[in-house]
Amino acid sequence: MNKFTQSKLKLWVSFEAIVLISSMFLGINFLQSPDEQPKAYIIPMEDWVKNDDVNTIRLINILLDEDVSVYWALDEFTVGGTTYPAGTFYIKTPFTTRHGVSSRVMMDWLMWQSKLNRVWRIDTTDESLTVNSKQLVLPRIVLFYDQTTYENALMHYLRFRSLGFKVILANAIDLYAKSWNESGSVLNDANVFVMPGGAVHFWSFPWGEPLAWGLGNITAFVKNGGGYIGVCAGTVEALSTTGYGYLDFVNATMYNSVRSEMTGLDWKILQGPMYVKVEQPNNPVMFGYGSNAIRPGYGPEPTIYYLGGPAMYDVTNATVLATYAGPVTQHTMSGVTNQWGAAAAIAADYYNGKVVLFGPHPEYPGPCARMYAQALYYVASIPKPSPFDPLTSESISETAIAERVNTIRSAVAQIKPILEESTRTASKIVNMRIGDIYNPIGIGSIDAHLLSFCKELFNELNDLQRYAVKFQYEFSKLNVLRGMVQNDPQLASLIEYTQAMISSFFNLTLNLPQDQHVIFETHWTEIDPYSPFTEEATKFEELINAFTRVNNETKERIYPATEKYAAVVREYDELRMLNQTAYTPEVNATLTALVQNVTSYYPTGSMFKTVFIFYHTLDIVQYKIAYPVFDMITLADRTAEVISHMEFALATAVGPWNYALAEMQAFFAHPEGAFL
Amino acid sequence: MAKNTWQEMKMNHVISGFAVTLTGMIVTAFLWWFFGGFGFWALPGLAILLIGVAELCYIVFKAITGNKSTVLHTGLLVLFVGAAGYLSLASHVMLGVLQIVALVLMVIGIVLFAIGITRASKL
Repeated sequence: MNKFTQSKLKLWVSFEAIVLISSMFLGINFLQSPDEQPKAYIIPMEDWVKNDDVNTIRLINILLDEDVSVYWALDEFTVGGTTYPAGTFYIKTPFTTRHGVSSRVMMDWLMWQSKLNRVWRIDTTDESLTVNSKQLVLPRIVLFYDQTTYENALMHYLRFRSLGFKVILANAIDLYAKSWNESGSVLNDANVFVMPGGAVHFWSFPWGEPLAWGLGNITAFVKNGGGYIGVCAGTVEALSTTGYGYLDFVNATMYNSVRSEMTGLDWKILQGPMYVKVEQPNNPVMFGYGSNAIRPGYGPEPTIYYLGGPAMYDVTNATVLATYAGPVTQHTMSGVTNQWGAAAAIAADYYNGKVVLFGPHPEYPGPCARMYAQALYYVASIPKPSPFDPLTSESISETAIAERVNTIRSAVAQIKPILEESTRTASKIVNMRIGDIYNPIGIGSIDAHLLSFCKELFNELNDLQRYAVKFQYEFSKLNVLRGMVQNDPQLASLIEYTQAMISSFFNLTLNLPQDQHVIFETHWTEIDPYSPFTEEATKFEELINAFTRVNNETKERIYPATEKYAAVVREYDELRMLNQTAYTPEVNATLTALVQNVTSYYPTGSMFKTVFIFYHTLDIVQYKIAYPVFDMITLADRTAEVISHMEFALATAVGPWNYALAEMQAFFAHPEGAFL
Repeated sequence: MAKNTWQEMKMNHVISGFAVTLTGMIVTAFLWWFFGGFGFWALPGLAILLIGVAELCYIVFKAITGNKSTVLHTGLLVLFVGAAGYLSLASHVMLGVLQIVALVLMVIGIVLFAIGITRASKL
């Protein structure tokens, strides 16, 4: 190579190196956020291509839990040439979170998380926003969790979890044992009470004084600014003019003879997604829904899952938010001339509180998750402190955590095969089709409740195990970060708080919350009576006994009993077909006698006996297994959220490479946790 | 005949290098627009763009040295892909580990580039 070429080469290499290095520095400088923070961040809820609304709400709830002021536009507004519809969320800066994190860091965290959670569009502006809006209050929810709630409570729990709402489960005793505003009362820690579907829940209260106290507490809670959300049966109980109107929140009635008139020989109750017509698209609960809806499936008539709930009419002191777009049953009830257009969702004020009632189920899968979240935001008005804040004294050592993680993993490994067997048996039971809600002698899908719990518990156990391993890794990482920020007391306090959250999770697995229900001996099985349940678990690993008990009852009692009852259902089906295709008075009489016999209250018919066989096992699942598991998951979800934004603040302070160093050290100690 | 084909091939390389660069620019611009800014999501676009630049650089170095070098070619590709990674990850404080991986890639690229250029210029 001649000298000329060599010098040309050197020139090129130098040029390339200069261009590359300078472009990188220029690029990095360009990429750094500008010094001036925007005055407001706007999250367009209707940009359905870029923004997932469920994830948006989950992120907003995390901000609210940190006392960040999030606003909910109640009217359309325009900023920088872009028009945002009512229902848009925005956050004003500057602010400081309740743990002293600056708005700069918190909003950087939001922008980071938004990209990971399909909230890809958050607009910013330097204009001062003057919009008619509501400052959101984080709904602190008490969910009624007692007899008859079963799958309804489960579906509520899952829906709230997906939206990032943290739930306190409350049974009847929780509601009547203490006054609503007394310290330690579940209602005192909350600003929204949710009554799910199921049946008439106030049967869970002992008749007399306890029932009066319970009703009085809920009424006083709402009167004094609390929110009430009723779904299906929870709505029935809040209507003043029905036979079950325990809480006279709304003057309305419903097709209240549906049940009694439908227990004939050949009725069909509708079940499944049902169209509703949005009557008040400008009401905050209905933002984004109705004839002008932009999101697919949110309009002109969104669907909500219907399960035989109330169709309301004669509504006098409430706003009808939505009506059913069709009749709710094929059966025309006596005294009803027009089944079309009955109210499906209503909203009312009750003294200082707000009430929203749904006939159908917005908590079920479908497009109404946002509607439910909006109902919660609408009724929540009194800010309440987080009931999940840990005590710093709860902090435990890495060795103790390692022990807990091993125990939890080993327990989950033992529970899983047991639970798999229960799930398989429950699945076989459902396949016998005796729970068919379309069938007059069906057991009302109580069999499906057992299956749903088994399936969901499997997921929850997986989550718990994953959280345990992840938290061990995070705890270790925080210990490394502690060494890096020891001169900064504010950052050190973030670490202390986060580690205390992790510790409180592991402590909870050692001191499981106890549901006070006593599960007595039951004689319905006709094989052997169920013995009372006494294997209360106080530690996570002791849940194995409860799972074993459920598996044994499912296999040895419920399965044979349902097999026997399935023969009765088949006989009924054949007779019914015969009654329709080759009617004779004899066939009709046999059919009528069979139905009367099977559905008799006294002496108890085989339908009720079969239902009661399920209750014993379902009670163990709901109160003795799912109750503590849900509480652990709620705390774990909250802990994971805290870790997410606290570590972001720490990484911002120490820089990405120091943070990477902490990550690597934690990885070498607990490699599995780094990948969860 | 042979010379013309060689020249055509070189021209094709230049065109394809520019085409890749242009594609990368378009993808990056689209990602920038769609996700509202620059970040880890721009990595695919930026990687394509810088691969195109690496190809063009290789053509220049090949012309200057008059020799082909796989090591030089690989070095340039690794260097520019590492640079793309670093540029797209640099703004994220939580991605320190990946930033370090990108820097390691760049160092490997520089080493390979140095080896490649030395060998090619000695041939």
